[in-house]
Amino acid sequence: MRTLACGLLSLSVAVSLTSCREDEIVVPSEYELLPMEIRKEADFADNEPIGMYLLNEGNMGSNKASIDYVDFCNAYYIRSVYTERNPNVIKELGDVGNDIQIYGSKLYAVINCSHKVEVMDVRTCVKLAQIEIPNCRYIRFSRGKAYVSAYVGPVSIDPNAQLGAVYEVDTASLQVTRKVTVGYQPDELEIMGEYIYVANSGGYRVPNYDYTVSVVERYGMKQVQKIPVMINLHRIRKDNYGKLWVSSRGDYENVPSCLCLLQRKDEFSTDMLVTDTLPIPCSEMTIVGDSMYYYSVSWNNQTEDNNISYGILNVQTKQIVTDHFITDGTEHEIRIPYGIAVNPYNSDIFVTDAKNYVSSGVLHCYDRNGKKRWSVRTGDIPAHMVFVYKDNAKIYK
Amino acid sequence: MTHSLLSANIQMCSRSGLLYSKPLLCVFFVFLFAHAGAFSARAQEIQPVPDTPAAQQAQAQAQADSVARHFNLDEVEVVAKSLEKDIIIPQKLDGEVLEQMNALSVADAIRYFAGVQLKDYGGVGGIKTINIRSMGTNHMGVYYNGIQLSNAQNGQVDLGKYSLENIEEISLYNGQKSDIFQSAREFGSAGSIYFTTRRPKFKEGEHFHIKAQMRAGSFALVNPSLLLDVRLTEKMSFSANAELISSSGKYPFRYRRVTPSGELAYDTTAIRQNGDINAFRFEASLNHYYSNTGFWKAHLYHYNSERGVPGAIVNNVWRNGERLWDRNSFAQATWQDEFFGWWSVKSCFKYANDYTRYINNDDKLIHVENQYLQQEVYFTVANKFQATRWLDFSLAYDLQWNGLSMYMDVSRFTHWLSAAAAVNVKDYLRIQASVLGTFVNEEARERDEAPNKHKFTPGIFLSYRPTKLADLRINAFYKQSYRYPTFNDLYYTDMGNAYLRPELAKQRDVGIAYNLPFRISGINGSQWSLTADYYYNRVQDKIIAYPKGQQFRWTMLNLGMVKINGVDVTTALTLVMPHEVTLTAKVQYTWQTAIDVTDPSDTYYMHQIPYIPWHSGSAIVMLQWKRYALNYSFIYVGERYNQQENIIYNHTQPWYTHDLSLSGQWTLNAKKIKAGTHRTPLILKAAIDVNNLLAQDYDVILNYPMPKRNYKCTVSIAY
Repeated sequence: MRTLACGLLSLSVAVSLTSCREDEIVVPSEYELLPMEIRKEADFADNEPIGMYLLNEGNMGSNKASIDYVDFCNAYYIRSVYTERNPNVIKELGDVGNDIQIYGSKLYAVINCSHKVEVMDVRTCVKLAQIEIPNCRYIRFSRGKAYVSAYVGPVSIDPNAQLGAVYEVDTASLQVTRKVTVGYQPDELEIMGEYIYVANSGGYRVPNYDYTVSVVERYGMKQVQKIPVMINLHRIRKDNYGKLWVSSRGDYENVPSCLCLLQRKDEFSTDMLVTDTLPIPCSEMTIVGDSMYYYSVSWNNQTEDNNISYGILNVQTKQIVTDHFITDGTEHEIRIPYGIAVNPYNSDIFVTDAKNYVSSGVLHCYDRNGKKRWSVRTGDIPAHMVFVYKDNAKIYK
Repeated sequence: MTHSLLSANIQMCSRSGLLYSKPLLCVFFVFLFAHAGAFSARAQEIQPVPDTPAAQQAQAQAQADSVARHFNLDEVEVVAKSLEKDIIIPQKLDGEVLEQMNALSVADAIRYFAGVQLKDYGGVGGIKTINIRSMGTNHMGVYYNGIQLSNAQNGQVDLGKYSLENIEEISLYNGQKSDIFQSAREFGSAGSIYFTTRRPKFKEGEHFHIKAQMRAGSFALVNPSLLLDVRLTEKMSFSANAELISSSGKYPFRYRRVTPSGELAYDTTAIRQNGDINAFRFEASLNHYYSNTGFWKAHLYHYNSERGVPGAIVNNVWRNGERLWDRNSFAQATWQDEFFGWWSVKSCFKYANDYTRYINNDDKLIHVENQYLQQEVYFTVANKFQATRWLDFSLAYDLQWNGLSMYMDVSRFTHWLSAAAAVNVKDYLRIQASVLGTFVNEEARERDEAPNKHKFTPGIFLSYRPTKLADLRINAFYKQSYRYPTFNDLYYTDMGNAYLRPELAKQRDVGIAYNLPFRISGINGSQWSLTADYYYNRVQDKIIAYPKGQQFRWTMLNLGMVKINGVDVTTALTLVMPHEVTLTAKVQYTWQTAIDVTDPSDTYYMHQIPYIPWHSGSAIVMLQWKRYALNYSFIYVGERYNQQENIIYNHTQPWYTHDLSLSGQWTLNAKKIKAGTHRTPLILKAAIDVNNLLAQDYDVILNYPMPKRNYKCTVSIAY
């Protein structure tokens, strides 16, 4: 009987060690102090960012897309600000954040696997509306309209040839107004003058990747041209000289990733064509003035490791200024760079580290000389950043 | 050791004077003491019988005897020729307990084992995989009638597909089955689970049995099944079993969140979509026990299903468009015999053909359609030599060919060679030692060639019984095992890495097992048993997905390392009370830490790995009165994290469910049997089940909500 009593006793101890289920709390926010000087908002110049939103993608199926905020005035970092400001949104921000941008006084987050563009107030991050766009990828703005690329266009007869689309959204009514079919699985887009340029990837059609940039005439919302560039296109950015920089991911095996330059055929033509191809395996880039900050990652099968470089390219001369803009040796702390942003006012460089994609990442801040200023833990897969100004309407037109 | 208790049971049964009409009670009592080795050979019609010819003989003889002699313990013990060499007692679910669970798939039953974590994506059609002692699903061997079920493509067996309908016994072994007379491959898993299908049993003069069952329940569950057993000759029998499962999978689930200040943030209830399933299963077997020592069996299995893949519930997505078709068929045969009294030989053959078709029909996503065909051919021959009464040797050789086609065209040959010895020193000390050589020949026909692999793995198992006065044993084992990279690990588009090495698991375990029959005044018989194990496992060269190159690309690398410390405790109590009341309780508890020690620079270094709770446990309490049974089961899975980092954003709350079932059985022709005009009873059974009684809203896997309270109703008639 004694053994029985002992058994029951040990069992009850075991049970008391375990705990019960509690009310589930909506994803909490966390505030962390950053080693920065605290300044009044009024002391910031009009063109100096007062903060930065960071969109964490979250791994597919985890529903862990989240928005963090770097407050340059009060010198703190808010993790998961979206859920703090919008606790009533069912199942939070969503699954796989793919882009975040500001236009006027609104903040737009493209949530790929939740098939929506979340629209928030830029100062409070409070939700205003959501725009339903299936499989949406990237967003850009022009003259009161938002243009969103989407992997899935109208249902086609041949299910194996699903073309992508660009949706036009009115930024006042926040309704989809028009859409146009483009190439296969379009990624980034850029608007220059009367035209929208869309980088088509065709990433789901391995090995028959798309290799074109679709040119959409904005007024009629019609695809007018497809410029052959390189397979599996991803990024497309304009510089101050009317040129377009397009990145190709290659096929991850024989065709290396590279950077292509599109320019007008001649002074009088609006036709763009590829004028140069630089062997830079650029994964992400940001253009500030004449400098294109980029990082490149390539996998080495022999060493089973990634070769990573952080460079600056002069977009006017097409010369690489440096291939290691992080100068203090701290780049080894970064496992997989996944996002880059440069503060246009003070040239602080922000690089995010996605680590292994299934754990929280890190946001690193470097000064203009490439010395690390601080690092902070982010959500899962920190990727996309956008700066906030005192008067956003003045900056983002 | 259980004599006193046994006699109590006999007295009780005799007093009732209706032993045959109430086999339930006795049988149920017997199941608990399956530990006592030969005891189970005493079982009657419903009780499972070990597949040894000796036990066969014992049973045949027992059946011919009178009721009184039937329970004569001494007579059964005589048949044991050599000393018992089993070492580690498996965790077992069988007989009445398994029947009372009324579960649909074997996965639902496995949840009650200690040290096991089940991944359940919810609903009838949701994928259910098992992980033992945190070593990972791929380290687990799942055996169906003694032959492993395998999936060379991803190494994981979806236990949700295997119905409990035709299963008579489930046993779980840590390390390996502690019987050296087994195929070489069985020495290779870190943990093994054995499903044994029902075997037809006939009383004198019976020629066939037939059973029809209908089950219906929540979410439009319809599950009819039919069973036929035919006695072809004195020693040969045939059995066939067919089953249909259909469910809409439309269950309500609820997400409710509050703000840190306690206000309601949101509370939403929705219906799970695209979780429907239509499945058909057919099994047939032929058994021939041609002599006292030899038998052969053949088994045919066919399963065909179409199901929706309900997918993760994320913001703005309440339905998915993925569909899955599965067709699993296999044929297997086993032959076993003993020659010269010292040489036993067993041989098995299997051919399996598994076809899968997957499509993604969601118009918001890119259309995907994939088809896979996996084939397997397996052959084994195992020999056991009884050198002396206390020493056995075994030698076994297995050969397997696995091929995957349609999606990718790859194949491999695997050879296993094992040698083992078992020693029994005067019943005080039992030792088993084994060594297994595994040789894998990879034959990729499309992509880059993967190198061949060969590994040797030892295992040693000890059991010490300090005194014959008490049924107390101290067990210990050390074992190494490898998990070989799957076809997906090696060749999957872009992600696969042909140069992967096998993943190594090292297990160390020490434990006790104690059985105590005792007497309390006013109670006819009682028995208490306790097992406790402490284990320390290390998984190294763990195959993990590693980020590669640009933009969300992965490769598989041998990078991970996990250290696992755990304690499993199981205890069972049976009280046989007056007025035909029996109370049985089984409780198990597991404490486990499984920490990631891959790289100190990781943010999750020394954190508990995903989905492993620190505390988990279960309890089953069964109360039987005459022909009625009330079964209560409880499962607890403590807090855990859904990703590698143990931070608040990955925290997952504990979940626990209460299930209740009430059943009764009636012999419709009881009078005729009493009068002697009928031999075979016509038994009607009915059961009502309530699962998740308190309607807890929980996820086992993040964003895969589980059903709230649900009901099942079963009616069967057996002749």
